Amino acid sequence: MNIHHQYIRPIAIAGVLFATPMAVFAEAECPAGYPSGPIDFVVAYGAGGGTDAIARMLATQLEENMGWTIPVSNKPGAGGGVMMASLLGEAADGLTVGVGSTNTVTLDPYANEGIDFTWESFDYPGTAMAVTFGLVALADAPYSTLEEFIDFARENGRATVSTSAIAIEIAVQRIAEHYDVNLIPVPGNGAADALQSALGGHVDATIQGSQHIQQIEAGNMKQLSTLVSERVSYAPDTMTTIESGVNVTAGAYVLFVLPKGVDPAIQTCLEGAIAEATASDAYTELMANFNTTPANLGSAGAVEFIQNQAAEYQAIFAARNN
Amino acid sequence: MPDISIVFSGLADAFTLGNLLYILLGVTLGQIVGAIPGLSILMALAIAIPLTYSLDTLTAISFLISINKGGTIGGAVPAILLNTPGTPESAATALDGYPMAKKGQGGKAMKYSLYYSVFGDVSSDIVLITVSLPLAALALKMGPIEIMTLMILAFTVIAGLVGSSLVKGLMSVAFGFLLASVGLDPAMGSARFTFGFIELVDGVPLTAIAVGMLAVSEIFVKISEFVVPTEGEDATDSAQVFDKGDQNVTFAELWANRVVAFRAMVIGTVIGAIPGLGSTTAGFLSYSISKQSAKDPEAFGTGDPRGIAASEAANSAVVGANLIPLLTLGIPGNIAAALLVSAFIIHGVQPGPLLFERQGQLIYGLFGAMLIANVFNLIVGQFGMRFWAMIVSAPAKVVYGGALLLCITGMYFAAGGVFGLVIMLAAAVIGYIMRLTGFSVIAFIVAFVLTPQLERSINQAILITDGDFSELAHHPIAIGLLVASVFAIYFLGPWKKRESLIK
Amino acid sequence: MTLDRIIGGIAVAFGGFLLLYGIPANVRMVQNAMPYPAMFPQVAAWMFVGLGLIQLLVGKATFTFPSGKQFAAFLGVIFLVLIMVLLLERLGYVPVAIGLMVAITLLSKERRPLWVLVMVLGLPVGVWLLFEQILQRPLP
Repeated sequence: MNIHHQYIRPIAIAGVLFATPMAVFAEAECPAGYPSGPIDFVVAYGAGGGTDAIARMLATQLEENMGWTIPVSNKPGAGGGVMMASLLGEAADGLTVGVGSTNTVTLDPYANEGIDFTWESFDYPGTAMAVTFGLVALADAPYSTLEEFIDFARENGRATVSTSAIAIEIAVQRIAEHYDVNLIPVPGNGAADALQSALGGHVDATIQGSQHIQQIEAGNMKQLSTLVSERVSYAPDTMTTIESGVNVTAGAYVLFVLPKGVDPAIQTCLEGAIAEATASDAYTELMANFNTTPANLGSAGAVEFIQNQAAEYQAIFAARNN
Repeated sequence: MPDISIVFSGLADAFTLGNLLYILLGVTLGQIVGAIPGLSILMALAIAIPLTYSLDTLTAISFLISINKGGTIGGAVPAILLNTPGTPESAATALDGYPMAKKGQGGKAMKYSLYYSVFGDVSSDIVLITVSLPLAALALKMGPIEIMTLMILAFTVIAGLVGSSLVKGLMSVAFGFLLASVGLDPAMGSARFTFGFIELVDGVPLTAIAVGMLAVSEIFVKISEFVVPTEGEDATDSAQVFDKGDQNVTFAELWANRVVAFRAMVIGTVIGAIPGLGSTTAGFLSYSISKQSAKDPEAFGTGDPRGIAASEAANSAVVGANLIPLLTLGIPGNIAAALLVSAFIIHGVQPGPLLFERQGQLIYGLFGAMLIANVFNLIVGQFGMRFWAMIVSAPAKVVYGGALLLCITGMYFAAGGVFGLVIMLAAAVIGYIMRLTGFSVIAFIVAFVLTPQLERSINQAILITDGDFSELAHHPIAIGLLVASVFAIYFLGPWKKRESLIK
Repeated sequence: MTLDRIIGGIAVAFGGFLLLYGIPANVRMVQNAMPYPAMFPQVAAWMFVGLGLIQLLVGKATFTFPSGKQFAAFLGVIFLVLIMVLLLERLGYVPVAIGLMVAITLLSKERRPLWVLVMVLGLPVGVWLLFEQILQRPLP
């Protein structure tokens, strides 16, 4: 595998990730007769979680703005895969909208056998939130930057990093390949479990999406590296992986999904309506509670992000399985 | 310890009329949902969270915690009265609760369960309020290596539950290992035994297995007995669980089991403080230890109040203790706590190490609400008993028919649609056959519950130590737990009080 | 030959089947890596083989089985429920639930009009109302 060629893409992806989060402001124009009934929002994760809260908040906004009726239900399982697989069998009438994560379509089809869908099996009317990742360690660790952490790993012969998803394990392995050191991803049962291992000093570092932010504020932890192209507000002095010269990023979006083949006019209508909802004050406030801001790439932006990331993971797994 | 004025103003916040009403509502809802086979507290919480968006933060969180607390009381009701535990954590309560009810002392069994449950809950709340910080620090010391040895200890203790034949009990455990390995493996994230079903990628749903094996299979047995009555037995029209005289429990009777109840509370609190273990583990561990360390272990399973105390005080103590890692570190200890995290976040409160500092008044308000919820739990539980007594006085055919319908409907949502229902039915058949042929269903369920955690921690331990077992020398807690395992095998093992290993 | 020994034999055969075919066919097999995905399934399979052998050699328990009729009734009820479950999404919840309760009422020979009504109509509609209206979970 040609490393340079493969790893140029993430820069472009990450560029999309932060450059224009609010690019879409189309006023929703909907074809006559749509919707002919309630529009079902199907959340790919359990009730009461973050994605569920986002879906319910946006459903309420859409009901207010558009006068639609939007019941929200949950179809959790297989990291969002169960909902995606169920969308394959839904009518393409625009009355069923999935709410899931980009990772489910960019990574899962290549990471596991027996997945019936690829990213091309669906249409995407927009995104709602970006998830960014950071490499963090205990505040009293003898390293404060990615480079020092790599030196530590080299001196010790190895360093452990607790992880919570395959995408993150892959990021750890790629950083290790880049520096040619022995970094060992230790898979935990979710982000909280991975954080706990790091807080207890059982691993040398962890990669986290959001739960570490308050640990940094409390002075318990420090961020060694930020795994997207721009620095984050809670760790302004921490360099990104790109700045360190490592073309490895990890990012994901909360994603809206439609069965393939929905009338383009309805797709445009949904894209506009969703953009209006993600720009609302109520939604911005919810995002503030999550320590972030709304991030809607619009349909074209979502497809571009997904296409690039899927190609990247496809290449990685093809190389792994050889 | 924060400013005392914050403590008092927080506690005062809990006593507003609206808050009290929501606590009462939450406790009642939790008890009802917990008592209905097929409905789980997780489901009640998930449904309730969107309803709390419009409430103020303290009321919202109090309401949710009250539901959780009510559920620990309610879960014991069907386990005792019908032998159909609606949740895996109340399965250990059925072991002695149902035999007691069958003797006509259903009211007594329910009172034991209520009082010990509230005792466990109150005690662990007090531990949470007073010493959560040191306990959280201790819980952080429990890394993968320590958790691995704790799981090993749990398995050795569970040996007390394998039933009459050690060999068959261990086979049940092996079956638990096998079924628990369905889904993504913790080492490489590859799919195991999924046979192309995406629904199996997350593993076989525990609720479907537990409710199928424990509750639905019992319901089927009962219904088939209505169809073809057992010869020589009078077909009883309703479950006669309240007809043997005095149903009251005196303080002396409660006090008699103080050692068992106290030990159960400690076990529940410790298990609850460690993220990722949960109330089913606590209930069975406590039951097994109490049984094996008793002078007369054969009395357990025949309607012994110690069995109820051991199970209920432990599984209820988990609820309060589970908030220890959540409130001090921002780490949710189980799924119910994770749901509370999202409720916190939606209300603009970030759980984490700065929670006490930034939201001290809210947290002490929450503590106040938890204590109030315990009182309401006791009161509502007293009334609830009469209500459940009335329900089970209906003809048994109607009661079991209704229970079946509720299990099917509830599991449709809890275990992922028709697929989960088919698994539940298969589990009911397997559970029935296991019982007929003398295999311990309990040993299987416990192994099934513990295995994912055991396997993951073994994997993590191997990765962290690079497979070097001498690393263990740097983990004194792990060594202590291993030594305890050896003692558990020696002192609590089934060979002590049995003539032969194989019957 | 007691049933216990037969069970032992079945366990040995099942464990062997898992080791030789069941695990390799359904679990990713890796060489020289620790930890590896097949570890726990293999432990379970070896336990079946070892424990099954003991049981095969020394098992002697006998069991009290329910009457054949009762066992048939048990399987019959399960079969009924299975049919209901499979029809659930095609026919809708309320008709299927009523059908099941009618069958159970007939089979269990309940004759009192009031209770028949409760079982056949009260329970399905009540449960439907509980989930659909109070809990807001849409049923098929």
